[in-house]
Amino acid sequence: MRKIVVTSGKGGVGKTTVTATLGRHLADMGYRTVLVDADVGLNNLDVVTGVESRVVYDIGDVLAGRCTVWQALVQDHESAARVLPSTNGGEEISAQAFRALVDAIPDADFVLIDCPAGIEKGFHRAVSAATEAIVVTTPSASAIRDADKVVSLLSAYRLEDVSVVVNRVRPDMVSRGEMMSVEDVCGLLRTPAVGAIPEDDCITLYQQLGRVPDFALSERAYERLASNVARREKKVAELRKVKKRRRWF
Amino acid sequence: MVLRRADAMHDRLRKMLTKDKIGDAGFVSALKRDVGRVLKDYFDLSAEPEVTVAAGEDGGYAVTVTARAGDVRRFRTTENLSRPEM
Ligand SMILES: Nc1ncnc2c1ncn2[C@@H]1O[C@H](COP(=O)(O)OP(=O)(O)OP(=O)(O)O)[C@@H](O)[C@H]1O
Ligand SMILES: [Mg+2]
Repeated sequence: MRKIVVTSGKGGVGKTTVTATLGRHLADMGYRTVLVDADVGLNNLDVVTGVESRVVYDIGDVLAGRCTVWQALVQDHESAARVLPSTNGGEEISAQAFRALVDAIPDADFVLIDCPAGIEKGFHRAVSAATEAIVVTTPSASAIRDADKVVSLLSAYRLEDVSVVVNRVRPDMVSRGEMMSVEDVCGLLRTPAVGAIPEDDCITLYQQLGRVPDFALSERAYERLASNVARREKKVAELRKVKKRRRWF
Repeated sequence: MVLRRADAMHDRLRKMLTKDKIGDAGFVSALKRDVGRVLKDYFDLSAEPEVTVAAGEDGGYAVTVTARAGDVRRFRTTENLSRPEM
């Protein structure tokens, strides 16, 4: 079982989106995938995956012995992935308890842990349960700065692998020299990229409705990311501007 | 040649990240103290050493130590060793 924490430092850069979308792609590839919401108190993985109305038990119930981990898992309606919902107000959950809970997840090839923003207790709890980390950043200065701090902190956890997903890349701006490239960003962080996801209006638009459709700009990039993660590869090409078809009249 | 904004941002960030790591938290002053302590075992320093750390092009750091000494010291712990030749 591979346990991968998706973290960032800065809030709102796309951790939950990456966790959910990567998880669905891994599930589509046939891997038994569980998405764990470690954002205790500010949980929204259930909302992003659209399972919130079907949540019966959550992490708090499992830890209190009211149900088993298996019973708390909610089936994603768009893929074979399962979601382990977080609890409202469980700040007292210890890192050890959380780790034991993650280790008790039955029949999983991948466990993706959606980490809360920040580098406090919730960060420690989420990272302690993982053996690999994906640091999500956008090409903006403040996100990269926080990602850099997170990369430094992660070195204390002896993870098997730490890699970066650069989210919300605008290939048109990169090619005009107005935005840093994925290579630039990862060079600054001295951490290899495992994925590059373009800015995609479809994500914002369809996220609340369910699955982002196949034709979305980001779909190919997520396929690439999932394949890299599954094969432990780091094949990331710089995102290219989509050329407009020239019409002849 | 137009200065690419992405390059300017890259440069700015590299400085920012370097400063985050070595700028505050007394990194340079601690380094200076340690370097000074080691140098003082070998030399009679005429002033405190200067230590600067800058981010290099390759992603590494350029560390420069400048110190002036009036004389070479005998090793305190190995008094019987011959004095290094000047
Ligand atoms: N590639 C993208 N293109 C466009 N919008 C995106 C992209 N990725 C994420 N978003 C949007 O950015 C917003 C924040 O994303 P998300 O909730 O995944 O971030 P987060 O890091 O989990 O935030 P928090 O720190 O609050 O948990 C969402 O509205 C999401 O739809
Ligand atoms: Mg989130």
